[in-house]
Amino acid sequence: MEALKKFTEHFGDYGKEVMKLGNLGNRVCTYIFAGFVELCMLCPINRIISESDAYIYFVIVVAWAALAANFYINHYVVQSEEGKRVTIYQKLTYIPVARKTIQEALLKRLLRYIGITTIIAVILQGSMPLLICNESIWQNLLCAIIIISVIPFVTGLLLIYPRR
Amino acid sequence: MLLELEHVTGTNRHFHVADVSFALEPGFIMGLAGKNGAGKTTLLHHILDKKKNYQGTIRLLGEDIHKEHNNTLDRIGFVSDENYFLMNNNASENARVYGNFYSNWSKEIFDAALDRMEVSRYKLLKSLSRGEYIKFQMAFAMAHKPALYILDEATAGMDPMFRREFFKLLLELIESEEASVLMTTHSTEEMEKKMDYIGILEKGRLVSFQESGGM
Repeated sequence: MEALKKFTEHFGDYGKEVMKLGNLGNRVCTYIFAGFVELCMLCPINRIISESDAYIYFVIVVAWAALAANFYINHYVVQSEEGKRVTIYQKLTYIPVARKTIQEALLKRLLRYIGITTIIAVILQGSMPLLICNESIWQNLLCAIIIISVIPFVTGLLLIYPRR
Repeated sequence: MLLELEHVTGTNRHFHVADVSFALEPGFIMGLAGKNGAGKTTLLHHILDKKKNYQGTIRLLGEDIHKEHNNTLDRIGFVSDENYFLMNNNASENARVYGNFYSNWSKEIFDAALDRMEVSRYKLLKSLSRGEYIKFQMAFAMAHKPALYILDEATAGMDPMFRREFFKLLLELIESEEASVLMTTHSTEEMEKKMDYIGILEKGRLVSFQESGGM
């Protein structure tokens, strides 16, 4: 729905909040944190974990991935208006568009982001282990997909489908 | 019938309405009166809210309003104090982003209505006075040519000059577009002189529904 697409774009930049960054600022932060995660995909995950002998690496990368998804989708859902939090659902309460349609539009936006980052991560994580060590390719790919797809997807779902 | 309510009973936002039934034909202004907490706004929200929170039936132009509620909202112009517009944007920006949702949206009508009511299209909504904000909403409602205007205490705090102009505008709308108006009010003068029908709510019940001359 074109009207909803335009509205979400506008709403994304509406209050320059919740993180006082606006649409552009949130996108830049998304690229920074998603970039960190993609950089991590240059090394085989199993090797880093076994060599550092700590899962803190995994936790940090997961946090970055969640943060990137948060920066990407949050400002489309919640904004600030005169210091108060307002959601896109509140602003469209009396407008002829269903809540479900709004959620689908936001979900589509999230899935497009996840799709792009996952493709890049799979290529990186698939090719680098092949060059360095090909014994754990499937485990590494699985880890990469969990970090890049599942974590941002869950983060996004929690933001898009808030408890009323 | 334009609007029909049959045995509407339900609670919304902590207020209750019980067994409310009435019908409104096109071309009339109906006032809903009653003390604070009598259920006036609650009744309006049963019509407007996307989720059905009541028992009974509400029909707009013969169709159950919750069968396809988007079509219902497309045919309703709602004017109230609620800040569902983007208050950090001006009237023109709001019209641009919200107008696209309506099937009969007309920017020309919106601009003409703003000019007629002398509301700036470049002032942020949050900097408009209450009266100006109501006028902006009225212009927005007119621009999507609704069948039913729902006004929740829209005339409260309006200056007498504009109030007269406002009712003149409503009369023009119901005559030219075959629309109807359902509005809540506390003013007995408005009820007597400006409305065709009056419904009085008391503790959620419609205790009286009659032509305004009989008040």
